[in-house]
Amino acid sequence: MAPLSTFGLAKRNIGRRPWRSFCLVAAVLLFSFVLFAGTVLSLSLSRGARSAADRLGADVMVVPAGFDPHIDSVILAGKPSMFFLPSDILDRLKTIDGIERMSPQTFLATVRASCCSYPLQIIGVDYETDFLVRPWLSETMDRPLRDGELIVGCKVNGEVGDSLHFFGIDLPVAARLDQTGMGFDAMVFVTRKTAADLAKAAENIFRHPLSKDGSLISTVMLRLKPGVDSTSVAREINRKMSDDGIYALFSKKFVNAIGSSLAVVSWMIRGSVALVWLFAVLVIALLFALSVNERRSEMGILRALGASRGKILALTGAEALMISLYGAVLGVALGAVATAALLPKLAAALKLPFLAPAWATLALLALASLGAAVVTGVASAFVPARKAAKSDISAAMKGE
Amino acid sequence: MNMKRFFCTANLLLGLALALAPFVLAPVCEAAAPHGGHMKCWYSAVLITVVGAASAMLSLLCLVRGGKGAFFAVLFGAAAACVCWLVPEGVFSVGGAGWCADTAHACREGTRPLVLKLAGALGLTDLIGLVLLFVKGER
Repeated sequence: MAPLSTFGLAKRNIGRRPWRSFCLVAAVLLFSFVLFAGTVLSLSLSRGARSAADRLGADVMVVPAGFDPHIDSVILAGKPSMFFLPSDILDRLKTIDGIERMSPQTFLATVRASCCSYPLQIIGVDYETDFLVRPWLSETMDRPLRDGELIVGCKVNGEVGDSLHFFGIDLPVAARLDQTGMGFDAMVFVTRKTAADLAKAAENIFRHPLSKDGSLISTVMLRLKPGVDSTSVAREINRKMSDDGIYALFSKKFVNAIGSSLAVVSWMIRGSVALVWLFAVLVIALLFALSVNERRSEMGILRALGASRGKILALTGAEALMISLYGAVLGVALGAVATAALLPKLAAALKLPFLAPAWATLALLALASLGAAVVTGVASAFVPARKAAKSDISAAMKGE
Repeated sequence: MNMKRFFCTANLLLGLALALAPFVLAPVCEAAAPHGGHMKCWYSAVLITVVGAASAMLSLLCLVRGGKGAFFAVLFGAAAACVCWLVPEGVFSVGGAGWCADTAHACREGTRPLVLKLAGALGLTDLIGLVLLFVKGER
């Protein structure tokens, strides 16, 4: 006959009431899942928002009037778009005070030309004046971007040295950008001359205004002089040029909007985690109280056979530990799968930048969630366990 | 039917369905890729077929042995479900597997929805199985 070890008895007790044990495991599983997935979502959205604030670079963005929602989609989601400003926009902006640097960009959207291609946003940058892409590349590429080559975002297929095919032209990949969590990850950057050449090649597929006039500009990124307020410059531009179909938005407004949405989502996540924790604590405490109450005579017999109060406490603790550990491991594993499969899509639906943490951080979060779930399970069972351990032997044997 | 046999049978049926899905039930795109080789969905189909067949065989072996090894078969089934979901979706890169970008393609219209449903059903069944087999002491 096998010896009656604490964990051996705990295993048998778990098996004796399978549906009750199932509910206990499910409660811990749910808590660890919500805790891990919720924390990863919150952290990824915060990192995305910080990346957006750091990466935007421009204090003011000038776009055609009515296209400001489009620039949001381009920057946040990389959704291909094409629009153009009046051709004298740079000269007109020179009359505005407070501007330190101006960098024009030209947007060109590809089409699905073959069954295995998908639409991409190509951005033609003026590399001499650019202050958006150049800072990102200073560590990976120590020379300027040349005509006839491209820089790809981290989600675009193609390593350095590979060639990508656009409108019948093969362009070599000169560099890859690090992940930003924003639409830049799904974009391709070329010089404005290359963008114009691509547009000419695109004439074989569809008419493109850029092929007639290669100097067309889609947006102008403005960096202001130190101490100049971006809101007032944007207002000045809008006052002077809105009648001509030009609109300026200050990037702080863009970043603030992300920040507001993020605050709401963070509160919802924290609220959900707290509610599920409370639910888990109540369910575990209730079910363990029921279980301990039912086994009072059994515990009385164990005490009569020589088991100490500590042993009775350890027995219930062992059950709680086994159930909590198993439920927590399953919950964190499920959370990891959900995080990988669903969270980026959720962030895209919320229109928020999403930048997942590094693997080491994810591993630490998983361990922390596991620990928190196990501690919750064991602590919730402590009160009923202590009560059972304290009861009198004869009263317990009588079931009182 | 006891619990072990029930979950092994469920794994066998779902594993078989997964193995048949990409080439028989809802075939992937037959056309070649522009470069002449197979398209991404073909590699996904091979992966899903192999993983689904392995899960089904393991469950069959478990049934033949009267339910011995059921816990391991269910654990393998859960892992198989994760692989069939995550790899073609591009979360992990394995051997060029993926789905075609064109939503009008056969793999996006037929294969992908079926595979996601089967993988989801297998994953959910095995999650419940992992908990029930644990609490009943059958591990």
